[in-house]
Amino acid sequence: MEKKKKPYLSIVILAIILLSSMFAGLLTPYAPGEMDDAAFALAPCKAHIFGTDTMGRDLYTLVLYGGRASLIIGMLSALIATFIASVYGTLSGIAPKKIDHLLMRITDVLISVPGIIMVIFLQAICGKATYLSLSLIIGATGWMSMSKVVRSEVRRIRNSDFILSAKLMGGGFWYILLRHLFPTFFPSIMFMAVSSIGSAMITESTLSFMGLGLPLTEVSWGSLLSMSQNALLSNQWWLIVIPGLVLVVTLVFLTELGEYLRGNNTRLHSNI
Amino acid sequence: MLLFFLSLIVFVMARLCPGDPLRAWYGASVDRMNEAGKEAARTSLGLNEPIWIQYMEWIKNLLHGDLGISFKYKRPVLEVIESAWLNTLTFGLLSYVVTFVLSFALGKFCASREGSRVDRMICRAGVISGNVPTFFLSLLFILFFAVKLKILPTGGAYSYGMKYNVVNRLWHMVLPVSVMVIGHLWYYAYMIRNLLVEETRKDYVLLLKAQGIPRKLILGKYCVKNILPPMLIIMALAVPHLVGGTYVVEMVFGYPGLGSLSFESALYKDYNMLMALTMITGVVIITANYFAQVMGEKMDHRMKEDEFVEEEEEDGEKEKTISVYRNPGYHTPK
Amino acid sequence: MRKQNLLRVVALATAMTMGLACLSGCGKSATKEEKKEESKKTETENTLVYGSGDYTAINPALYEHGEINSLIFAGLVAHDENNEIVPALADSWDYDEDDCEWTFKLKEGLTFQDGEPVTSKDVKFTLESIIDPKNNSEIVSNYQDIEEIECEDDTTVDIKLKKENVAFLDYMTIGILPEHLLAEKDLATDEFNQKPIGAGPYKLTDWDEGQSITLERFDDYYAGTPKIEKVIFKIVEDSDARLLQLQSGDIDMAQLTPKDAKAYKENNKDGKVYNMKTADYRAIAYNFSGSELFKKYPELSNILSYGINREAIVKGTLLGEGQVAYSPIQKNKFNDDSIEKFDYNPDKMKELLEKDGWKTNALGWYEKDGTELSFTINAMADDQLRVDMANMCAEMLKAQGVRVQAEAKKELDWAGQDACIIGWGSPFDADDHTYKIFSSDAGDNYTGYANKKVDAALEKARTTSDEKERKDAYSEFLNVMTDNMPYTFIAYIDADYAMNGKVKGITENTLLGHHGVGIFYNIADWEIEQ
Repeated sequence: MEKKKKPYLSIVILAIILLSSMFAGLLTPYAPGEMDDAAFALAPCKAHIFGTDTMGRDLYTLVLYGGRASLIIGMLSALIATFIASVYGTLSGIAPKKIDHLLMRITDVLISVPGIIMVIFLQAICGKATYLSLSLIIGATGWMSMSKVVRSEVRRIRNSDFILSAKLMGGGFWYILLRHLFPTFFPSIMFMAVSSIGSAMITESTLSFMGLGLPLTEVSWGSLLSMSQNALLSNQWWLIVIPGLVLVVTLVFLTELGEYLRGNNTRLHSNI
Repeated sequence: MLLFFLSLIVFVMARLCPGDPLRAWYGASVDRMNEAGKEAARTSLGLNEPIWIQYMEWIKNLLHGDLGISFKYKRPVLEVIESAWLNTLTFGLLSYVVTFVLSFALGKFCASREGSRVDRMICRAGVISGNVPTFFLSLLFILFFAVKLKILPTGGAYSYGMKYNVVNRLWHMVLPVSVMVIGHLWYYAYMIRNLLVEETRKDYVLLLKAQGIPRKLILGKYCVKNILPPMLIIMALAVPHLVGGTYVVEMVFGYPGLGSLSFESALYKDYNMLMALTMITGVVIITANYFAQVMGEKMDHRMKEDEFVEEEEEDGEKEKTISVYRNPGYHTPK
Repeated sequence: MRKQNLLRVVALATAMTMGLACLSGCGKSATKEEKKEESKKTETENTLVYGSGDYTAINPALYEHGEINSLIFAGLVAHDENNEIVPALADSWDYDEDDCEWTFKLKEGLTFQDGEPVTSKDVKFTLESIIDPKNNSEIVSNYQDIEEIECEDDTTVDIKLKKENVAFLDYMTIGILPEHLLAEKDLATDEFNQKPIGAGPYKLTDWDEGQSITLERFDDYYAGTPKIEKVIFKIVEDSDARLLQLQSGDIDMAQLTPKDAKAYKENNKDGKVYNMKTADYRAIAYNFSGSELFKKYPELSNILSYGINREAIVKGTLLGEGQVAYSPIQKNKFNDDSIEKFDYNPDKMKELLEKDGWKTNALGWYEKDGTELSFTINAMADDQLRVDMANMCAEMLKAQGVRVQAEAKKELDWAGQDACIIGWGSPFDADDHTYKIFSSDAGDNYTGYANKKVDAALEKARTTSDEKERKDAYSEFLNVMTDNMPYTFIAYIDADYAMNGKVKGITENTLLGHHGVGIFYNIADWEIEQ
């Protein structure tokens, strides 16, 4: 197998999506909540290129602003998951055998609780759903696999000279973690971090669908998708297809990117 | 032991959550109750004791086979769960089996044509299928098969009056199972594919080839045989994923199973129901994990015997072997 | 050796899997025919399948919501097509004005569905159960005026009131419970709530929790044997799912949201949608006791009422199937249409806010004494109409600088919420759904609304039987209410009942109640056309 091609297409598409969400204010002809009471559930047309929803809001505007919520939650929760995984994994990695064992058992337990049930619990504790609470919850339920990789990487290098010398020179836990360990193990969890953005976005949309997501007035791709249940029956295809397509395209390219970052560990030729 | 730990966490967490279990019991009339009435009701439901006493009480009853009363249904939890668990078991098992049969077939197919156009196309399609949120896929399926074509039921577990009709029940499972399979198929097919691909790079393949054994046989017999142990581990570890998946799918299809019940019980603070459901889920998952663990140990043992693996540097290697299969290519399906 | 064993297990597992897959495959082809057969059977069986909301307990003395009460239970009196009182279990009644005493005479030979006779003792038991504070009945405030109940003989019951209550006869439509099954039992948890027995036209024969409730006609029903043999309440909570099942023929009839009703009309030529008027309104209820904001600034309810474009909501969420609301008794003869209606006027809202001391802050939101004018409107997540309304109201107020969020909640908790979309409205006497909601400390006054003048007016309207005096009293009530609005009224919503062409006997012009309840009042006369 040759070296994988750089995923230029993915990067370009993701950049477009990211930028257009960031500058949604400049790119949209309408305010995000603006209701046009002459245009309820309009199919795509000149004035509304993606059509309008049943409340007369412009779908194009909603998709761009909704991307903001989805992407922020996706990235923030990936960040949180990576952070927890790094700290927990490192702790476990440098701990004595017994504690290490215990810590890993705990991740085993946590990993086996179906995520959705955990999310509902945590959501109930947080009360109101906000960007931060959702990211925290999704992040807090998605770090376990990553921490296992971190741990084995840390275990592998913990007795390397540079770590030992850093320790001897009195470097604290955070210092060593940030300066020495993190750069070493980051490449091996990078693809997981990137793909966890995608899975966080899926979780967010599922939460919205179940009525546990952001408040109704905060639009996200998830909440747009959950409107599709209504649209299904009234032949308002654009309300289903457009947000669905945008979300799936984003996710697919994120996965591609993740796959690329995962590296080429199967470079040998097949013997068959 | 793990189960005990899990029950404790869930027990405490559920009780710390805001929200009033009285609401599950009395419904909206809670708003009309005065403080004294609420206090009395709480006392009668045993909710005024300190958490740890409540927990001891719960454990004690559990040992007597008593899981308490559901606050929402006002009937013993076991009675309410009775019909649900069978529904979930059949649904879950069917999805599980179909997913793995197809994953295996697809994985092998792709591995045998590794790098070809077909392989790449399937890979791409697989990535897309794994990226469609389950609930969205369900909605699309309902729209297409149940509304437009009217060939499959929209939801539920059986038609009216056909509670005991197996065929009718299977009929209602077609769509949910398809959604489950499509959502999880590629995730596992890809792992199996990669395992096989990896296997084909081993030296013994060359040897077999030199002996004149046909390609198909090498892959289909020898390679498959060699990846069986890790595959079993994957299958064991897949159990929690699929359980999580069934929960979501059950909700979308209004399928009366444990998933719908747990969602409901968590929302309505139906403590006893929630605990019972957590325990059931926990047993299944822990058994699966245990199985994976045992398999992993066996495999290590065997590998060392066969001297396939160079001397490993440190402790905890069993863990590591398993964790490799826990972290497959991309994100876990939701 | 070990390896081989392992292989064997795997092989076995795979074989079993294949077998299962085959089985399910075969099953699929077989089902189609069977399903057809089955549906044919039900057609000839004279059965009505209704797509219903879910029930966990059925007991008219405790829980008001839900259609099923009127099928299983019967009251002393009943409502007819025009919501006038007609005899039911009681043959005749008398009212002694001086003593405030009602005397009801029961019909002879009445029985419950289990064959036991219906007597005056059952009436006494039912009413006493409602008043009993330990039962926490939802409807207790309608019966609080009862002082004493006496059974003269088996068919005569005297009910003495503390004071005059004109709406009392209306409340005697309550379903009568059988004392012989419930005496000395805990009403809230008794098995009876899952196996209810009444004297209504249909008896419950099977309850498949969360799936369906099967009712069969009660041959000894006082008004004659019902025409439809079997009524099945199939639990389909979601309006979208009901639409799907109506189209697939799984159910015969269901209440839909206007959007789904429109879709049904478009796709099903032989189906029918009854667009029925209701006395059911939706409003934003402000939580004057539980919310910091509205506790401190109760005047906001009046001011914000000018910021809601009700026409747009009726058009957007109800597709025009509803009426702009301004009063809780708008559909009642005692309504007064000269009161302030708080028509949409954002400029007036701005002006009033500024007069009240609210100023726009740096972020563009109103603020006063460091408090931002910011709150959340909740809506029950399973009611799409309310969710849409909350969303639209929030957007409208946001556009004017009031920071409002809308949230869909699975459960409403009055202790912690600012405001929510509420629904009330009764097609019967004006006292119903006013006294128990707007009087200070009344049973259903969740918002902590307290207005002495409103209390006095409602009390007066309840205790006088003179039509003109009552009209004046309600007019007074409405006028003092507008000085201090409890709610921001939004709209009266029509109930859309969709059914396939076979169901006959529904009276389309009957004004329905809360959640469109009431359509089943004459179920005994319905027919399924063959």
